[in-house]
Amino acid sequence: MSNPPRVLVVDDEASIRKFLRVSLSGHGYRVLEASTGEEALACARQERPDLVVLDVGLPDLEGFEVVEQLRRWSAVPVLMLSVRGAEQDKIRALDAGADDYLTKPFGLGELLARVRAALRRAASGPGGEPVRQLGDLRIDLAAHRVFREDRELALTPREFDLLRVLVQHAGRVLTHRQILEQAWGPEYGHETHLLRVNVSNLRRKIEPDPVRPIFILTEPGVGYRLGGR
Amino acid sequence: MTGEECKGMSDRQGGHLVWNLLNPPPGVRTEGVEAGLDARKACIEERSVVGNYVSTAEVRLTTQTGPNRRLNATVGGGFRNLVKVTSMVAAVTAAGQAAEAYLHPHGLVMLYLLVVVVAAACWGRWPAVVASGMGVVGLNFFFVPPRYTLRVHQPEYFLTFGVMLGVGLLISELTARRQAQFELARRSQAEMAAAYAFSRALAQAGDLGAIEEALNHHLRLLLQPPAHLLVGARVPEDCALAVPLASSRGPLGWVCLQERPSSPDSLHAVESAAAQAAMAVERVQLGEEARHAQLVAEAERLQTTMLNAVSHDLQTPISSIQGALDNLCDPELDLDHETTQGLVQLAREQTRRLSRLVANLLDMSRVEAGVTPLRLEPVEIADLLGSALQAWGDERRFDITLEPDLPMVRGDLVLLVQVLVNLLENAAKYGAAGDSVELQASRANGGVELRVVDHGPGIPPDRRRRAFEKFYRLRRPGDPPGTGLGLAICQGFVQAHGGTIRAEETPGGGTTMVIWLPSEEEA
Repeated sequence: MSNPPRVLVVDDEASIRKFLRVSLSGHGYRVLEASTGEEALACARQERPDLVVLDVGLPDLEGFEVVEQLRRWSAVPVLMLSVRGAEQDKIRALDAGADDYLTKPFGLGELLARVRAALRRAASGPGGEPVRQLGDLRIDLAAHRVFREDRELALTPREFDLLRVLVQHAGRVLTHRQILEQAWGPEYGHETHLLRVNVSNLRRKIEPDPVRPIFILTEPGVGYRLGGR
Repeated sequence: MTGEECKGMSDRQGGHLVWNLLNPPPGVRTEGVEAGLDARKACIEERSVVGNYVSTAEVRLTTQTGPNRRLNATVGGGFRNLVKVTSMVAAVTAAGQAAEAYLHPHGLVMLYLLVVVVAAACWGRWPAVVASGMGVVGLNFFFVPPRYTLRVHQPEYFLTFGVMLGVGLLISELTARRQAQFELARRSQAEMAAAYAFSRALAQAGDLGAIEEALNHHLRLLLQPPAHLLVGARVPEDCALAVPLASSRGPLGWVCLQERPSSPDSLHAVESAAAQAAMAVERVQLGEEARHAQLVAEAERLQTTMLNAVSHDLQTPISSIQGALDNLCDPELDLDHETTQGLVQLAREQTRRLSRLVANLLDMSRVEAGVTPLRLEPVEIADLLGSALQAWGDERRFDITLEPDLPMVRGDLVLLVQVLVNLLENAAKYGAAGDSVELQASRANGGVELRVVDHGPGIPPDRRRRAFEKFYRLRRPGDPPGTGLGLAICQGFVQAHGGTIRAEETPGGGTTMVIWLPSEEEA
């Protein structure tokens, strides 16, 4: 690759940076490193990386603060690393604009898949086709209709809004608040019960097996993600 | 004993005695005397509502000197007053006879009335009544014709006698009333003082025990048997009388009396004391609840911090090990020898870090559970330092300063070595790179002081104490990884040895950890 994608790895643990460097550079990325939030912001401004892998627990800045500051002038995809139990940190960082997260300890295969997905989403950009294919589902965003093969599924307007938000951010983790605010409106940000009821109804209509969903995936304690491409 | 004698007793400087009782001078006993029980019960029954509170205290005080002696004194006093009144009447009579030529019997009436006024003012109602009677008889017998008989020929003298007796009785009645009012004022003052002392004692009471003590002190003043404070909803069983502790939040418990109060008035007084005690109990309980809630919140906060720290410190080495191994197994990666060795080295380092963390966590839980059995033996300081350096095995340079002839300390060598290794590790980690670590041992305060000195960035003064808290880390950028447990474990182990540990600033910058251990003789 003549112009490899550049990935900025931000973690205060040298050991984590080391194995990420080996893995990412081995798979064709150029790796930049930072050990503090300030260093990360300075490096991002200077080097304009294509992706940021960000540890949430930094010694100087909270992870969400880094994302917030980054988002003021950059739309670079941010993939967070955090530990189990730090759900609140993840939610704050996702709300601040982070794209995805991985919980330590994680497999490198998983990390590389997430990196590829994030870079692909960034490359395709927002908007896109008004008609999307999701497995055997055909979703017409302009006409507000959903078909399985040629049979139309009867969704309520709310259910369709919910599906639309997920489809528009396919592959990304969305927090409960982000979904509620985009599908219902800013004043609904805390109505998680409403969200759960609608997700459950929507799953019954579009999932082949609502107990083992393949389209609307639950991110425990954080939100939902649309899978199944 | 009659009500009259009781009154006589309380008339005698009751207010003063009550004051003494509230602030007893040294040597004055304030415990009741059993012998006086019957007498004082009788007195209490005679008391008016107003008088109850303090008069009981007075009566109680009279029992202190012994009821019989006091009774005799009262009777004797009455007799003496009678003698005085009689002699005054006799003196007036003698003076009247001497001045007979110049004085009409009607003028003598004034002199006799003067005696009545003096008697009323000095000794109260009954001596004044006696003086009036004797005056009338004396005037009649000695001066009113026919003289030296009690017969009266001129009817106008009946008017004189009647007016004289009436005026005498009126004066004695007025005097008695004035005294009663005075008494009342004195009593209410003393009553207020007692109530004030009680409420002040309650306000200062910080726990249920202190409230019970204040209540019992107050009940003693009321001549009541001691009481127990029972907190809880259950009605106590073995109480002669249980007065509820009523509060705005419902009943809090009971004041349990061993004996029933002797009269409705004293029951009333006990009830009002219980009401005051109830407020104090409620205040104490609310305070305790607030403190408890604060403790729970603090414990939860600590637990959250702990969980976050442990999960971060456990996940990081595990992630690194897994990452390194994933890389080594990745068929798509074409790793050179150096990178492969680096990854293996990384996995080994992180495994060591993980096992050290697990060991630290186990040690910490041992310290906290207090189950670390100390295997105490005499420990020689040079031996301790040597073992610690050997156990650590770092190639860093050491400057060891050992004062000659140090006493031995009594301790568990294994634990003490671990303490030193932890401190050496910190010194090496946070000290300036390439710098030597200094180890010093000297005598101090009947023990031995060990100092581990580094010349690193040091700990800010306001964080030196917190540095020994579990999971507390300064978390400065560029700091090497750590668990925040090392110093907490050191403190736990050193304290188990009866020693102390503190952080000081190294002159010129850096941290000096100072351990003090008692010498073998002291321990």
